[in-house]
Amino acid sequence: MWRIPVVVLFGGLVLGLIGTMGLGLGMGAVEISPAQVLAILLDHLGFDTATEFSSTQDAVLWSIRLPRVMLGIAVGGALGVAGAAFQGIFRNPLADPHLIGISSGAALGTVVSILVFGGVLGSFAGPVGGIAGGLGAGVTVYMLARHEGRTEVVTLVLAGLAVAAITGAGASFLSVAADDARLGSVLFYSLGSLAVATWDLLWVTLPFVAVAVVFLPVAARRLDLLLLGEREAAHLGVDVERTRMVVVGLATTAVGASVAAVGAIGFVGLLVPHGVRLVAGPGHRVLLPASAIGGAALLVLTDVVARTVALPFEVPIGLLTAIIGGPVFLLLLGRTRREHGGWG
Amino acid sequence: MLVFAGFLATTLVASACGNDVDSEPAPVTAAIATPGLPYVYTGPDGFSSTVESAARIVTLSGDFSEIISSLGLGENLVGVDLSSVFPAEEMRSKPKVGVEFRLFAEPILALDPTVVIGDVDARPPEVIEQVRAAGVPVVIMPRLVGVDAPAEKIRLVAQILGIGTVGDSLAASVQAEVDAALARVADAVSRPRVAVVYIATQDQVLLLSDNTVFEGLLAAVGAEDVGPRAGVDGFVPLTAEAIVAAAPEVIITARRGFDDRGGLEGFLEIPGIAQTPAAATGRVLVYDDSFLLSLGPRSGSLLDLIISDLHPELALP
Repeated sequence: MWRIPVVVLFGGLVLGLIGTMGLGLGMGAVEISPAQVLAILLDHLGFDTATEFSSTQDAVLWSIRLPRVMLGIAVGGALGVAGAAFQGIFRNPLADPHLIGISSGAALGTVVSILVFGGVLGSFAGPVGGIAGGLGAGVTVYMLARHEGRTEVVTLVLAGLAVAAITGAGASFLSVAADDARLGSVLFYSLGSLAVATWDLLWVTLPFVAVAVVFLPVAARRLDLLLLGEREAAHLGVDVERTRMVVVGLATTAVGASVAAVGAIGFVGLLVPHGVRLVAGPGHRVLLPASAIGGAALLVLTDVVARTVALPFEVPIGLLTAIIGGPVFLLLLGRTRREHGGWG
Repeated sequence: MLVFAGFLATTLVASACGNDVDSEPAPVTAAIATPGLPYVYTGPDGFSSTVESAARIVTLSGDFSEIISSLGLGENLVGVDLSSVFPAEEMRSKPKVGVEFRLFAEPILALDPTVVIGDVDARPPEVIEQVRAAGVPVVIMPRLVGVDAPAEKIRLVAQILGIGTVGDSLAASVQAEVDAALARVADAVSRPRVAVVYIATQDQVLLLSDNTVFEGLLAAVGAEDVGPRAGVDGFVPLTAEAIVAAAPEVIITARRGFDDRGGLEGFLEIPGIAQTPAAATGRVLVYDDSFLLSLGPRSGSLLDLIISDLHPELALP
């Protein structure tokens, strides 16, 4: 099978990410030229340039767009790497954090935590509740779908659907009933938005994402061996239970904190890892970091579209990822059916 | 409340996608003296903002747009929200910043405002924070209700914009109109049971009562509010049974939703409304949305009109 060289893959992904960051910083309702973007960034780093810019442009770039782009990178990276990890650990091509109910569980956890522990935990109430809710949903779905040492592809998705329905409804109910300004709108938790990005929000989200992005690749070899089957992996010296706990825990930490920050955004965890596998194969040593970078680039790019296509409004970003992700999901379905006779 | 906001936002988004934001702010030519500036304002959110200049104002709610226009600062309005529809001619030409319940920072900042005025319904809080972080003062007004609210609001907005004396005289004349209208209620002998119904979308009909702009208003105009009887606080979706049980003799509603329903015939087909005494006698009073819902400078004539419509006996010699 043809594979592109690893150097080319990562080079392309990094260039893509830099390109989308440029778009993310340069585009929006307030006009800021590329030269001014550069001048403002350099100014904050302590360098003077000849390019002039207004204080509004400075504030928009530094207080709104830059934290927003950074949060997009964090959340996109989290969703990409978590999708790849879930697909590996569950040995299931459909294990997107959104499809298997983890995002909705995290949304419910976030809402409950903000309402109950908001006073004690402050801005950390969101991510802590999100991670707890995501873990609760993840464990429930996993137990339901597990059968004779493996998870059944379709059962996992169906169990995820049920858990997502219950927890999603719970989150929506609470945000309607509590009418609390600290909670976002119903739309926010079901479709997501990066419009709420601030430096503070970035700083409470980034640590949780960073832990996952840095430590998940450590489990790459064990995930590769798991692809052979659990018994086979155990024979080759993999502590299957421990690997599963660590990987699911790390991936859910990243997803939970992301959902707490920007709501549930679907399909990124499905699209990106499958795209990477297509060109680079299934090896996790490449797949995990490449999915993180690819997810980051995809989310930043989608966010640019979300906030410029219908000014002065923004389109919920989850709507756009679903528009791209839904058809890809159908393609996956069709291909699997042709090649393996479906997932039945 | 949030439900209402969500639906309103959705409806408005659908109708507003064609609006462009002016990315090049036009220079302001009007030069009205604002001797009261700078003004330090502390809102119900506990946040203090210093308003330095009223040269470029963005409003997040239609009532403030109308007040600012009445105060003579209409030319300084560089952006308004979608509920700003009065004065119609003036507001049509203003760049729009979206709806107060679902704001975004950049479309506001693109207008380069010197002050942004909204109320406690402005959401989400993160966007307010972002605009403030950009150095623009965002004034969050308290929710003022009751028959004194129009004058109070005018006075407060004028003070914030540095024209307190202009505000005082406008407020005094508005209060005089309100008082004159309300004085007529003394001669009224009827006390009809009234329901205020607002059609947010085709399938979302709301009953408005206490904790909305209608708090205390119905009592003041010599009517009985059916809201408390139906257990209503704030905006609630209207259920057929609740409105039948409340049995209003008169229904007050806003023009836009009424027209969308196809006028009186369509309105009376709303489940539950058809079975009310008001439907039997055809006593449905319809007023323009911004007139009915904004508690602005036109409140005197609104109350006067409602009082005449509610108490036909007052027209008799």
